[in-house]
Amino acid sequence: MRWRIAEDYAAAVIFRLLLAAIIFFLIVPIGVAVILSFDDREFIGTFPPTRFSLRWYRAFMQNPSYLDGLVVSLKLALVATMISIVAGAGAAIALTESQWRGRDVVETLFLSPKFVPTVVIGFSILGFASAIHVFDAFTRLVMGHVVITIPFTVRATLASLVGIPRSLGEAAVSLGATPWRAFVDITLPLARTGIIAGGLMAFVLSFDEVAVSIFLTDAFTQTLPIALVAEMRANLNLTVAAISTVLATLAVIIVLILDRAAGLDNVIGRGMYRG
Amino acid sequence: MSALQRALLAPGLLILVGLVIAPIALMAVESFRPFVGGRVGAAGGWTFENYTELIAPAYAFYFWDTFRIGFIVSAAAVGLSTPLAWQAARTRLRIVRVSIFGLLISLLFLSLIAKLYAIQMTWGPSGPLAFFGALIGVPVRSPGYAEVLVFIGLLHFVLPLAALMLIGTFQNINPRLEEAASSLGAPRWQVAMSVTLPLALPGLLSTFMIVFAMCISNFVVPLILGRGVILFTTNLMYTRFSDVANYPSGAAIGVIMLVLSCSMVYAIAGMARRVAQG
Amino acid sequence: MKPAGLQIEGIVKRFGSQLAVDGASLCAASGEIVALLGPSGCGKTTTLRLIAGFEQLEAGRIAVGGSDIVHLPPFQRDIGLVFQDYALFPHMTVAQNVDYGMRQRRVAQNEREQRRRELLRLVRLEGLEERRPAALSGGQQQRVALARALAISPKLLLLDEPLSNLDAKLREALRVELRDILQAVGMTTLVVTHDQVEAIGIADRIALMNRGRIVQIGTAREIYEHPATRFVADFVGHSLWFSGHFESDGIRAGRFLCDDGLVFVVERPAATASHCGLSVRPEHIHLEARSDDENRIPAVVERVEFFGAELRLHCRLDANGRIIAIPIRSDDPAMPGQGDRVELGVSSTRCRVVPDE
Repeated sequence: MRWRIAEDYAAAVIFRLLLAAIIFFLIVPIGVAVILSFDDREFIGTFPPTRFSLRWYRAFMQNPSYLDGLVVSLKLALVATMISIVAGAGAAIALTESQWRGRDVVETLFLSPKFVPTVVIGFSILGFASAIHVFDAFTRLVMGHVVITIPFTVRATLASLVGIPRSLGEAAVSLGATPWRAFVDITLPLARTGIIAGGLMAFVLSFDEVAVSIFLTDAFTQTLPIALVAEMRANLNLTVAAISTVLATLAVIIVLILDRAAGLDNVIGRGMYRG
Repeated sequence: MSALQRALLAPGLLILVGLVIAPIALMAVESFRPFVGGRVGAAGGWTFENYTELIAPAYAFYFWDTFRIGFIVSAAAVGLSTPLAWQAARTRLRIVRVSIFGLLISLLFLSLIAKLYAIQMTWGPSGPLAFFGALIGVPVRSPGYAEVLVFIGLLHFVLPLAALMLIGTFQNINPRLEEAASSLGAPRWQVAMSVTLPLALPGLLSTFMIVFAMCISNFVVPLILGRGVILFTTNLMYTRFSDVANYPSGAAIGVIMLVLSCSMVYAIAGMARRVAQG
Repeated sequence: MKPAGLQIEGIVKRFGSQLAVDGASLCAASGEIVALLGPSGCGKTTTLRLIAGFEQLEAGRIAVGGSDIVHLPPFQRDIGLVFQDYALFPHMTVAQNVDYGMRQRRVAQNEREQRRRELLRLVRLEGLEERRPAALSGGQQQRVALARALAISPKLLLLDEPLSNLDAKLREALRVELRDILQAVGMTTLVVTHDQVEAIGIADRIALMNRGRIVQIGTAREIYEHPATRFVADFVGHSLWFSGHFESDGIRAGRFLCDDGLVFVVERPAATASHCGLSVRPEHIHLEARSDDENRIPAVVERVEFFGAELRLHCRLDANGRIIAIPIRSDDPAMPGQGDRVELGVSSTRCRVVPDE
């Protein structure tokens, strides 16, 4: 059965190559963007660049529509995330406090916006906002972004609440704490990681959102992604490479912080058959 | 339910009713109203026209493109993320597992727009991988190449998520089963074919459906990479509204997409229930 | 001469900085059933996985049927494995599970069916071919796992804690059945277990493992009556331990001077190590010293514990106040009560001087 060992070895080699190809596929565009972001040429030329400079980073920072967009995006993400955390975490806590009729339906309802296509959310809120005479773009944007982020804050908070034994709250109450105090002293601190994780996901999601924003912006209030798309439509240049590099670095930093804070192993879990 | 619970639930419930249920209900109602140029909101009468006109070939193509591309990308995403997910689930080296997790999560956190322009720069006419077009017989500057870019863009969008979901699937398959098959004489690929993959099938299927739902709802990829050649129903919804302010028609498309999305979720939930019952 | 069924020489395996297996060696004759017995963490499961090929050997030699197998991948080793959780393929029927190994070896269909029928009859599971593992009881699953491993006619059979997943009553019944099946099959078998009753009930010889090393190999009786170290004496059966040192009195005998003052007449130990102690099994101590009991120890009965068929007498020794528990049968005519004086006796042949490791 000598040939079987060779065939097994060949299969293993092919597997390794496939794995490498997939990882390469996922990483190479980012690598190209990073390299091109330092390209000194004025036009998009052939790869690789020969002269390097920071001109595109400067272009990014000097472009008023990008800067305005950045400010709008940050404000929007912050406001939407705050509202989403308060509403979402609150709902999650209410859902775990005790069993009550209709609880499962409400939970599904809170997670449902995830299954609605984002264009539908943007589109429907546009019509609704007009119907109730809300014409301010920023308000409309907040409405849209809160809707898409709520499922994440609810789910993340739920996940960490499920791990808190009921007996802790009961112990606090038996020692004389009012339900409110038990909530503030026991439940909130223990749910903290879930709330923070949910908030982080909400922030990132809101920051990158296009489909919802494109229906709800107007000429004066644009988010960064919208400004980017509009500018690149007009004249495609390498400023977007600089922006991509900045965002990629941000993503890596967030993940490193996540690993330090919670350990990536714990975020993903090890499944039923650990080790 | 205590007063505290009511207070905690109220804001969320208000948002749900006010910003999700009411707007969608309004949209559904609008979809049955006739289109009167330039108006958003009440116009008299009811009609099915907004739906029937979508059957016309011009529009049917949008639906066809969306589903066709969505299906192929979803299959590719599940297929390509399987080796990655399996390796992350089975490796005993912490550094390998954490690196793969880290890579996948970073990709999730990375702005999709950033990725799409990066893809444009990499596989586009002046990019280092532009030869890829020649490799598969689609010239880089031809309109047909837009479809290639959309494929690549959607793959970048869904692969990390598919891989993360599948890691859970593979972790929950008993590694002793693979060892048993090995001890009985099966070489590694045979173990994968006869034991690992059949047992992973429910997870693979549900991942496929979730990825498919994500693909057909995507807006940005065809917008940025589609070059106007490839447009999804999502983009159609936008142009109906932005170009001709045809709100009712956009609403009709929205309703159709919503119904499709919900049916898929229902199907996945049903499948998950059946699997759990063994 | 038939080549040895299984030969392990000086195998070493590390996990990071942990030394899991530290130079273990054992030899099983062809057709012999050997139990690898030891507490959890002693390295027995790692040894089993090394033989099966799921871990990489760092040093040493493993040979099955006379030929070295270390360079072979697991699917080429011709070793039958029965896992602790049986690892039956849940998506296949019993018949398909048993057939799996034969299919890998391209065995023809009618031969496969015949062998499958034979094996299922051997493990007493005829008629269950079309069932799925989820529809079987624990005992039935274990028998399917056994049949599946035997179907490939392996050169060696490895069993990982075969009875630990079953409840106590079932365990006893299956232990006997398992030994019958293994003897009928006549295959070299290594059974890994932490349960001495399981080891004694199933195996021809027992290899005791502790901290990555094999400490003693022998039949149950040999190990029980002549334990090589304190660990062996403590692990199999009960043992009373006395620290001290040995003083020779002649060629065959000597005295053991305990640290706490007692002195025992003992047989000369087979080997002396730097730290030794005295091991005496409580059941070898007589309540009333007999004529050939060289050692006599006066004591007072402090407490009597009733266990149904057996009583346990807790006796305080006059010499040093130590309390030892001695078992006697409930129907023993000499039945001292609480507070009675007794003269405990034990023969020098029952006092073993062994290394303290």
